[in-house]
Amino acid sequence: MELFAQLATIGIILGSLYALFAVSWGVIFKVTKTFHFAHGIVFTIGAYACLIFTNYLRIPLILSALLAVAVSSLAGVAIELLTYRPLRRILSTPLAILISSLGTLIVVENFIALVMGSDIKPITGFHPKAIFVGPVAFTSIQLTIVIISLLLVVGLIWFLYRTRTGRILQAVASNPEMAEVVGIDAPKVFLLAFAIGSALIGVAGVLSLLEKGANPYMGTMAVLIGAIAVIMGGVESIPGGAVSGFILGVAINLSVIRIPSEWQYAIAFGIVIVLIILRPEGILAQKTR
Amino acid sequence: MKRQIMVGIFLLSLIAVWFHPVLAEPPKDPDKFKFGFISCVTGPTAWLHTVWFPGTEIAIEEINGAGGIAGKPLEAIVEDHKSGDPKAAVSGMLKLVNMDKVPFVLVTFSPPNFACQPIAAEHKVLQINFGAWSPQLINLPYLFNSRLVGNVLAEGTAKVAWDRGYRKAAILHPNDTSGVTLKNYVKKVWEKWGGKIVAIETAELGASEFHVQLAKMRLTRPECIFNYFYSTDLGYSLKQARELGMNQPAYGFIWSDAIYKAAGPGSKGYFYVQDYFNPNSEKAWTRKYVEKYEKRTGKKADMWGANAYEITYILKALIEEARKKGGDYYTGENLIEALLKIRSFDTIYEGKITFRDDGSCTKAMAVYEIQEGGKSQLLGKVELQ
Repeated sequence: MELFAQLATIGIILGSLYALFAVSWGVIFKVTKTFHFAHGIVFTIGAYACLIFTNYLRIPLILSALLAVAVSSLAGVAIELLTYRPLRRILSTPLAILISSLGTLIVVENFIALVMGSDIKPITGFHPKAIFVGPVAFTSIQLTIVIISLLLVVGLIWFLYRTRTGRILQAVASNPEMAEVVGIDAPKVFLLAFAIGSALIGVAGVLSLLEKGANPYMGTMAVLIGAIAVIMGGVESIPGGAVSGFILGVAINLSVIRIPSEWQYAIAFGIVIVLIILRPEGILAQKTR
Repeated sequence: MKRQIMVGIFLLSLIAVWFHPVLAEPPKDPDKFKFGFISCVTGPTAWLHTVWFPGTEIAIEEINGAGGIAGKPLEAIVEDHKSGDPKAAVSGMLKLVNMDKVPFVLVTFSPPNFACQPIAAEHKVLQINFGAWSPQLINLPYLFNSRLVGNVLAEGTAKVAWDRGYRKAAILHPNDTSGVTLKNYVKKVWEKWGGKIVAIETAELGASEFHVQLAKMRLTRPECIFNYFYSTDLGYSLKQARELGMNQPAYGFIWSDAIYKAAGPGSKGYFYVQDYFNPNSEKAWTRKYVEKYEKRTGKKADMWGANAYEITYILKALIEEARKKGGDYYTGENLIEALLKIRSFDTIYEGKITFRDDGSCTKAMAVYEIQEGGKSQLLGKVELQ
């Protein structure tokens, strides 16, 4: 029971972060249909921006975090304007856009490694407190991860389904040409999707920095997890991506409660494969006839 | 009769020319004494390259600044094994032996060492491991180790824990060749002494998540933990152990600033056993090296840079010995012959380093404790039974 409680707690923490990865990547993919590999580097930029503001410019942590989120948002918008939009203009194939995205990720992460070094960089003087609730242990930053991730995921879903701007985003996602016919500026909406998705992954980057420190290669896993969760949850369903990310985080931890822990990722992704086979349209997507 | 005497004189002359150094072919010095350095230039452990390569760079600058070897400079050619990828290591090794024609290669990490050794043997190149510790890196042709191999270090960690009175231990190891071999070895040693291994957990090298493994280990209530990770993964595992309320001492055989950055205050109570490099040694040579290293890198001098520095000077000694043979002396076979002839070398470590026939070496070993702020405190030498 003690082990179950601890593993479930760790699963919830990891699942919350994965849900944030999923919705941030999902909103960009849903609206723009871009397989945005470079989303991983926006995550990394968020972490390093917060690190630089805090450690080097001595800006208070909360303000640094907010500034870092703004920087991430701008970085995502810049990638859309400088990489994807020119390619779309010349009618490049989705594969060409995917390759350019992957290239952007690799180039920028190695540039960060060159400039900042490849070793782990934590926030100076930040030491989260350990919290014990019965047999279960976690830290103050892990609790923060759960609260902020869940608030942002719920907030995004509310924004998309309950606000005018959210419905505009969904309209463009559904049919960008028709949306333009009714007067919606689709390219501007694309930028908004990148701004929102990048801000969300920037928050995840800051939270990861606080939990583990920053390293130039931290973004690759984040974007892979986000993409897998979105595909698992249904590419048209933001709530589906969130639920899938959460399930993935919990599965990675609880799957090895009775078996050797070196099997954790094999089992967790085995579950992913089974779910995709059983519901290829996604966990929360409507079945296509 | 006269003819037989003439033939005899002719044969004796041939023998004299063959063996007499004065009459032997003069040494054919290459334009540069090139050697290979296959390291983790990129990937998750790239920080290690920035720790050990400066040691070799400083040695090369000193040697070349003093006129080189026989007036020729020493040069390292770096190849990247991408943090332990054997295919990348083989690619680099093939380029070094086929294109650069180097007779001497330094290799780090166990999988690259295992992958490169058959190539070294085929091309008769002296391969030296100065970073990896797998106990299987011995008795392999053309491969020598200038650091203590894993079974010696693992036994050292067990000895330190045993002497402190612990009898129930857990093992956390990377899921690779070295990790599995060490786990098996230390389990055997610990149980032979009468101790008990209550938990064994593993994760992939480079992992940053250990909560699952540590949560399972916590249930078994070990008195101490043998942790054989060796990069930032070690730091994360120490940090996450403390977050889960596990305050048992942990024993391993590596430490560095980069690991401290991942571990933070969780590093307190970690002990490590290593080749005994004392940066505060009274030896003038050591102090000079430490000053140069710390000025160049901004990092504290530790055994990694020291190993790289030491082996570069050993290469110089091997070249100078091999040169006495004359002709095209800069070959792997001549360097190995020189190594086995000299055996013991002066070093910036305490005492000397001595190479053995099985490819291992003997060197001083010590235990260190990590204190507040990640400072490493030397506790004393470790003597195995």
